[in-house]
Amino acid sequence: MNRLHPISAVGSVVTNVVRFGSIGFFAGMMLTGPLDVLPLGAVFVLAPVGALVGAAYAVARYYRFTYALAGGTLSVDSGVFDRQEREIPLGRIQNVDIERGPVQRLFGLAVVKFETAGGSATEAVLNAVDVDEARALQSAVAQYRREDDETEGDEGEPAHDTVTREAAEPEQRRLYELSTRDLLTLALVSFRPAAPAVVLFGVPFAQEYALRLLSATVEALGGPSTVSLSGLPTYSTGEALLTVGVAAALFALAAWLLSAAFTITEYHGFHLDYVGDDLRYERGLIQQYSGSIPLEKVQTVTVRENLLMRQVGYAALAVETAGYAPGSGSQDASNTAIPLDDRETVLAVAEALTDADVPAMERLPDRSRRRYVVRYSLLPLVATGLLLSVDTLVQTVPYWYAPLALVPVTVLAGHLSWKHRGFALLEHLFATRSGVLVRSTRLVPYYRVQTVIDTRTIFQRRRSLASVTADTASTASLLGGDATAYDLDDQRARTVHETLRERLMADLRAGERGDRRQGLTALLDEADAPDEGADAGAPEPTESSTREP
Amino acid sequence: MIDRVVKKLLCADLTCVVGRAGSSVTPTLFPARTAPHRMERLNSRVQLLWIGRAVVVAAVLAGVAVAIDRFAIPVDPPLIAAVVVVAAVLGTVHAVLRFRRWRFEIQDDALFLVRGVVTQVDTSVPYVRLQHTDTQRGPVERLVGLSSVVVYTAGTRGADIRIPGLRPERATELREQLRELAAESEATDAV
Repeated sequence: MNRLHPISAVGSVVTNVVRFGSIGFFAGMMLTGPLDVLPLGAVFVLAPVGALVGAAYAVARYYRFTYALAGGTLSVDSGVFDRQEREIPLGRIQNVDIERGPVQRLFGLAVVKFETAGGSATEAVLNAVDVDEARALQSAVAQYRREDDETEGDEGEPAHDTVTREAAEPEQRRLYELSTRDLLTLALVSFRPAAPAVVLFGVPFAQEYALRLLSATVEALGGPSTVSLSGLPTYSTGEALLTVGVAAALFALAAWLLSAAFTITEYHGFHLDYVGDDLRYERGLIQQYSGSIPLEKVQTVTVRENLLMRQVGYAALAVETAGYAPGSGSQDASNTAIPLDDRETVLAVAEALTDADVPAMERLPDRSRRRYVVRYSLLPLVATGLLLSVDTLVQTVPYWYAPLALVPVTVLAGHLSWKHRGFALLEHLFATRSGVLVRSTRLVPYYRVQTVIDTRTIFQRRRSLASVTADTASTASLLGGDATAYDLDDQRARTVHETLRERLMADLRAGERGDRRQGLTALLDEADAPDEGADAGAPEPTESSTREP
Repeated sequence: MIDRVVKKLLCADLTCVVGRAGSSVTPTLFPARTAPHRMERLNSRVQLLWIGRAVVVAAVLAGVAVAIDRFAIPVDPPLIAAVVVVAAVLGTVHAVLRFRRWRFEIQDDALFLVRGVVTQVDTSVPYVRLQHTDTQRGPVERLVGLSSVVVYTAGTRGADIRIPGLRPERATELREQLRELAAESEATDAV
């Protein structure tokens, strides 16, 4: 039985003293003041008593919390009043994440989180242990998985891998490192919705500086010399437009810079290693994160490219496991494997991870494009119709035909939606692609498919179209990350549905999951080889030699 | 080049699937193994359940309309009646169509379901993926003497799938059948 690091106990004692002490203080203030139940001096008793109780509770919690990693299970005993004893079979652990905030780094501590497929929250949190102990725990879980090949995988499927491997400490190989240049590029091309929100809430606090900056910029552009909200009605139309335009531009700039800053703090020093059968990443400037992703637990692999990234030929890669509960803290449901790199490298790693070539996608039939164009164009058409009926029936509306100007845009949007959607059935993999602003290519190994669902809405049936979804246990699909092939020909959809089922069974029987290790090793060997290193995008030769068609 | 490879692969899939499914099955019926009209249907009493539900919804709508009339803006009584009747009729038609379309089949490696009126949904649940199976009988279901079977998978979208409107004996039988099939497929899985 191990305890958490004593310094973490000191930390929680301090937090609890402050928390319970202030509760005692405010309770005392209420009881002596407005309620007048206790004599005035009670505050000086209640606050220290609260602090003492808090400290005692923190100490009790520290002594009650023990964990042990032995006999193939992680057992965690916790709770002062509600006692809990939890056993987690090591083979069932999906991810082991290590987090280190500034305070923890100061004292050499780390928070370790263990994720399994079940449950609605992180299954075990060790807050906090010595950083070496954290790393040792992470390695021990991986080690166990390597040694115990008979261990069942998640969802009750036994592992198919019968290759025996040496129990020695596995070699660690660098799979990917985010260079400073790529980090800066990533910061500039990625957009975080949180950034504009923070700017919006932040401006009132720095009102004076914001106004001064705005005035200076507006003046430099030939507008009024002082800008204030009360002065706004006195401006001419041109001046008002200029001011509003400048304000919007400054806002966008601030949001962009802030978003870049967020990205830099999050992905600073990102690198991905291949250790034994795990992928292990580390990242973060202030709050440091490190996580392990067992290859055998990978559910789906997603290649993401937003509009800007596509222009410069970059892409990002994420791997999804069944580990994370939806919306559990700051953790995304998917683990970023590569935040940004050129498309070829990303595809090569995706191919190595899934042991398949990322294919040319099968385009959707032309009538799907018509469907999208009609669907998007309905909005301006309906708006025009409404305005026209108001114009003729109620009162004149100037420019009632204005929404029609959007029709070219909606036609283009329809075309782009169609162009970026597609799917492919490969030997061991189902691939789907969709999204215009952020295009996601999802790779689902057949043996990960849980259910196959095809849907036909009334509008799809008119054009004899159907959508096919390959549902997996990946938690990312809760956030709309389904692997769905949209709007394919009805007959084709039936074939795809049938094929998914067939391949699931075939690949389960064949024991598909061992191969990805070879794919990665091949990729690394290739990168290490002095002459072939340039050809990172083509792992086919090694692949075809290691597998049966 | 890759396009051609993909295309070749797809053709291979098609022939392999057609060949395996047997000569009696035309590609049109994918992934059904038998003609849809031969697949198992729900008990017709389930229509009563669904029609009853539609009527309840219509009644609630009527209640809301009356409340609006009473506390906010006056609404024509004929309008209220029309809304309620239309809601009830639509609900009834939907219930009947839903029953007529609902089919399921125990196939060799998966449970296959066909359902949906406005949006038609075909689902395959491979037996290997069954986590557990329930029979459920709600109070209203008991009233019409029906039962449901719910199958659970570890998936995120189709995590639980309900087959409603079964006679209690059939529901129990189906649950047992699915459990056995799940256990059997686990054995092949281990190979």
